[in-house]
Amino acid sequence: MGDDARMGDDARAFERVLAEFAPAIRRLAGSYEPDSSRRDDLAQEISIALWRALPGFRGDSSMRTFVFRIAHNRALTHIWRRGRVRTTEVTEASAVSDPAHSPHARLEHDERRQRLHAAIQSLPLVHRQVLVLALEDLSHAEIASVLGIRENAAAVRLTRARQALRATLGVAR
Amino acid sequence: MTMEDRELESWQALWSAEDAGARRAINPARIAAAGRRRLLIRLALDGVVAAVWTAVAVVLIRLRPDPALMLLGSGILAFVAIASAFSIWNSAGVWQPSGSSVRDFVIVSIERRRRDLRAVRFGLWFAAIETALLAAWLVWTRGRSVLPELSQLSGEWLVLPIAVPAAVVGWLLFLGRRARRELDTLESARTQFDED
Repeated sequence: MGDDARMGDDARAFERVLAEFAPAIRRLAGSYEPDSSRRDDLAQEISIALWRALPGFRGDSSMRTFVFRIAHNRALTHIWRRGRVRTTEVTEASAVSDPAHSPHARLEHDERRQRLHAAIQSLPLVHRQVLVLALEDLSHAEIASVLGIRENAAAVRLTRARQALRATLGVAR
Repeated sequence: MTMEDRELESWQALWSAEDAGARRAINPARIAAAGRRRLLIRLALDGVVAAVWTAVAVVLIRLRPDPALMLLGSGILAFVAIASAFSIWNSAGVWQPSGSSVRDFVIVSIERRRRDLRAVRFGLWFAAIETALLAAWLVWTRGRSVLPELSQLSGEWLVLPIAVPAAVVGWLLFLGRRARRELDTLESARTQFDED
């Protein structure tokens, strides 16, 4: 196969992967970067990293775990270049205190969503990573594979992360 | 379905709701072009630096048959070769993580930052030795008019022998501080990874 044909295949494969995972990439970027303009930059950076890594994908894992590995690795680079592992605290601006008083259902939904995102951003890195993967519907085995930890460690970490998220959201259990 | 499952599902529904800007923000063609551009710029910069120094050395050697100029040109070529060899040796083994997980990536990133710090230390010694040898060469050739072209330069050019090494040292110290800061953050991330 010629170089042009191979490049064409790579480009089409990249477009397919991006069409499927772009929303997840953007959500993941948001968990690492609260600032909206920097979040878009990070999503672009992750996509560039994916573009570079994709020709090396040999099918040893599922495409989903491959994409999330690349995305987390690039996002980690983004935050340690800025010298911080923990990104933000839940603030009054990002966490709406009482969404139940909102007059419109849509607004209430948006407020709850913003509050969840802000709470996730405020968690320690290891909790944030495991939660984001669980929210993207990855199994314990897939989470363990992405992060390079044992499956039971992934389950334990997820339990702790959920407890931390409940505490941050102020949910009583 | 347990209460915990319902809780996770409700979080998943909220989490996945924000999709509006995603297709707009990520454009495959633009990303592919940006990726290619970055690779080309990096390759071009490395090539340009090596080519400029090699060209300077060759011009000095061929300028006129003077042993002092031959020595200076050969010295520059030797330094380019040493720097290139160090660069290859220093980056060996850290191109790829040993595995494909995030933990493997953190480990290889820590090693890369350590290599960066080693490169900064090497760079500082390299700059010091280079400056000392150049100063010795200038003292040795003083009064011999080895490079009469230099005497035609105006006074402002005299600031270069001080400004260039100072800029190089300043840049290396900046890179060293950045690598140290990133290494500290990475070590902290690794500690968190190994907690469970």
